[in-house]
Amino acid sequence: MAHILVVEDDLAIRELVKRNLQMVGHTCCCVADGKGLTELVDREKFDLIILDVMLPGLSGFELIQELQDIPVIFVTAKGALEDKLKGLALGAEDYIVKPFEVLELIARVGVVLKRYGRNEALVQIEDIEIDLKQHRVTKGGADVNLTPQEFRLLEVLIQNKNLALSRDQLLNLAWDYDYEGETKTVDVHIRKLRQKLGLENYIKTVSKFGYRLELKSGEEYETLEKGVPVYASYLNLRG
Amino acid sequence: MKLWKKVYLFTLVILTLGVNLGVSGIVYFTYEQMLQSEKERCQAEYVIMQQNVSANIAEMEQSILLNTEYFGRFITAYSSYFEADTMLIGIVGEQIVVGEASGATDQEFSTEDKIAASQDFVLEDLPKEDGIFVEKEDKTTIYIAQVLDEDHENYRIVMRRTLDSFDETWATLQPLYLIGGIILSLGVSLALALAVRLLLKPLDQLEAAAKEVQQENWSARVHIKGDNELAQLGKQFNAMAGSVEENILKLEQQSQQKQELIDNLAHEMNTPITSIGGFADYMRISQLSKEEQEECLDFIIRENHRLKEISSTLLSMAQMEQEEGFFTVFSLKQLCSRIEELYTKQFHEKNIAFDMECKVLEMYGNEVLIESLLRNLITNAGRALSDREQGRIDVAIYKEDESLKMRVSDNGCGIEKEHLEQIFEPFYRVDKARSRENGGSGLGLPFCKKIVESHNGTISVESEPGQGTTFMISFTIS
Repeated sequence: MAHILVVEDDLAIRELVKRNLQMVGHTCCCVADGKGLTELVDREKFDLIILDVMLPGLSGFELIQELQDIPVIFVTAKGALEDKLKGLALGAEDYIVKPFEVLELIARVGVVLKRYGRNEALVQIEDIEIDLKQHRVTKGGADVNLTPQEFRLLEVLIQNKNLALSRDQLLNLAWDYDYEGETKTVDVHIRKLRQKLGLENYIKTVSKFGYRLELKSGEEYETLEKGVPVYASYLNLRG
Repeated sequence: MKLWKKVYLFTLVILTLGVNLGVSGIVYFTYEQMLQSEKERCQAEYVIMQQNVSANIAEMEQSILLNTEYFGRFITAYSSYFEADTMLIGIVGEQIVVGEASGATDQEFSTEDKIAASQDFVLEDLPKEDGIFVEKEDKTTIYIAQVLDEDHENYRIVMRRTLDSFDETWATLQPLYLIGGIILSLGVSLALALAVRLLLKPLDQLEAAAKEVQQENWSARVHIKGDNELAQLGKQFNAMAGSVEENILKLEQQSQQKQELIDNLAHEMNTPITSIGGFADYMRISQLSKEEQEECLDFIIRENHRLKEISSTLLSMAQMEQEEGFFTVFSLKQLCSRIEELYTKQFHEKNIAFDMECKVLEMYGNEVLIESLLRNLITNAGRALSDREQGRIDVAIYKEDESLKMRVSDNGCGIEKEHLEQIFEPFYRVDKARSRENGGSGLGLPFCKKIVESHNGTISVESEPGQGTTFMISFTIS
């Protein structure tokens, strides 16, 4: 997944963002201010930078001027319209105001990565290959027929891998906003996905809450030539 | 501008009336004077004439019998001595004898002829009594009538003079006076208008300036020269506008400061709120090891503590708004021993030597706030010592000269010079990461400063990085 730099002076927020991003499969590097930022950015190739505006020393607005070709998302408590406009005008991809929900941050990170073509395009789970760009799924080489809605649900699960999502959240993320049905449809679609793809071990039910797609990178498995991360259930790892 | 119009019209009417009355008065007076002098002149002539006639008639009576005709010639002869517009009329019994100045003729006219000829008088018009009469109907005419003398009571001489030249003169003068009066009135009204306008011009200035101020141009002022009431008013207006400007600016500044405080506050509170909610969410939806869970909980607890600090300081500051002004005489000594008790245990556990010395019995102020003040400073000192081995905090309260002094010093990490100025600003932190870990809200020192100032005191700080910090507070005792 993506290599993300987090520039945030508050320790708790820094840790929070880092852990969440790591949970969904990204790798993170964290710093507390803009010192040596240019050198760091040259040294390590980042796919995205999450930048706080109110930093000691140079502010986020000043730092972004030196980060021209890397997508930047501002995260800050300064939520006035003029601040947002300024941030966006300076070239940021997005501007999130505190307090925010981490799921939202993850979703926006995903959107920006997609825009730059740096998100996951291909995911492999055992013998299932999922092409998120082409919207194709194959199992053991053969095409699997998924409805658009099922695919969308699968995509959402992958984007938020390892995080438990409630039925309502799944509904919000994977269905159109004007869908007025009940969350029952989520259960139905989950069942379908499990059946069609044999993902019973991966799409786990979180009791009284929702569902979670558990994908842990398997070090013992080689990644494919395309550089696609391969996931294996930890049950398989043991066995 | 109704005032100036009123003043103007009022003054104008009075002046015009006065002028015109004056002019009329003069005119009337002149007229009467002129008439009077004419009268006197006629009278003088009449007297002379009367005496002469009387004498002549007495003379003639001795020689011949006087009859009307003779008398007539006689009168005519006299008439010729007078001016053209004089006519002598002799009345004998009922017969009238007329002598005209203009035409003393030798012709024999009968009395009736003569009457018919000179049709400019009517018998009835002739004065019935003796005296001087003035007729003003067509032309101004003076009649003087008198009995000739006591010996000739049946003879009456009437002198009639039409004042043609008088009338003429008057006819020329009158319009002159009229025009003169009008011009004078106009001149006066113009001059008056200018004068009033000029005098009341400052009022325009004042109005304009007041309008400016109303439209929020606080620096508008007037410039009225002189020493009079309007100039005084102008000075006063300027003073008032100055005061308004000052106060508005002060209020704006205060409002701005408050806004900044609120903005900073929002920011400061947002962060822990995000963290607490974020970590709670994270724990809920992720599968974490026990160790990780504990880490997350640590964060939550710490951030919550921070929120509490901010919240409680805010509360104190709000309370202060209410408490401000509630001053009493309270026992400083008791307060100090209470505080000492509070801190002794926790400082002992942290191996910090804590000494509190209060030499002052009582203080006039707000007990709650003074307690907050001391506790804030002591807590800060404690935080500065968190790395220290042999930490020491000294609190001394004593009187010096005319002031009550409080000193809180520690031998902690100290504060760099460049920060000393700003530590009393809300949310200013020297080392953000550290102070947040230690639970600082960023509001402690600004709050202390407010408390000190509301008690008419000053607070200052001295510090040596690595060596320690001392806070000095001084209250003037009234």
